[in-house]
Amino acid sequence: MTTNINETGKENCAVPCNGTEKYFTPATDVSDTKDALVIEMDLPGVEKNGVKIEIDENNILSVNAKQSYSEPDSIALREFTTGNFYRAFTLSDDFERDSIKASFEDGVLKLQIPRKEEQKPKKIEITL
Amino acid sequence: MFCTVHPFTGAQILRRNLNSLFNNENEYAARYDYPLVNAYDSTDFITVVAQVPGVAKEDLSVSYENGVLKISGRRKLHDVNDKAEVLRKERALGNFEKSLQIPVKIDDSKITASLKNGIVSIVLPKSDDVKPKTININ
Repeated sequence: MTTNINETGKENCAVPCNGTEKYFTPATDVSDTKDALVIEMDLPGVEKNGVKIEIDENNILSVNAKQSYSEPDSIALREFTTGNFYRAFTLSDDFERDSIKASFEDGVLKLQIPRKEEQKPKKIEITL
Repeated sequence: MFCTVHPFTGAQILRRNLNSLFNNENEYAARYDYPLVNAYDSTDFITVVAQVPGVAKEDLSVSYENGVLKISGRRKLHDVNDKAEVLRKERALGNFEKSLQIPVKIDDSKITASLKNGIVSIVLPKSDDVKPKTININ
């Protein structure tokens, strides 16, 4: 099966990106269950209402998440830095743009994008 | 001042990383240093914050013993579907454990921890005898 989801670079971003804004790219798992495309994105420190998901007329699905974690002063050990998140993907025409389901739990955004009925693989019985 | 205590030697870390290449849900989270932690040192307490997205409260445990704070748990795959074709896999899954040496005496009974939006914050109040004392000049 051909790849039906492509990473979109920030130059195609659906939100205005000026040169000074910096975004973190969230770790994402993408899997295809044949019925739907499932995208799971790590967004630690983000509140549910800080997540903005959009799909535009070019089938670019973008996720923009605002960081709510504010760190205390006097850092003694640093292994992570944090900020706002952004990531975009280009979907193929196989998917139902209007029925995308989204849920957010424990800092993970889960998107389920169902495949159009007629695009689902169908078994064809051949009778002799 | 702060250092993480690695329970495994370099050779074991290498073996775990190689194993993770061949397993779907590994025994250990893919990055050997997951979760990433920050520590903050203020006058009255030490705050340790770890990024643990996708870990439910019941799968996370925090313990403090002999000056070492241990954060451990398990990050599970949701809705495992064997027939799913994986197109992209970037998130670490599986068991994880991280220990942090706290170089200051802590009042054990007053340690608190909270988990929100994939971030666990642990506040360790410093023991009274180690808090800085201002000395008045007569």
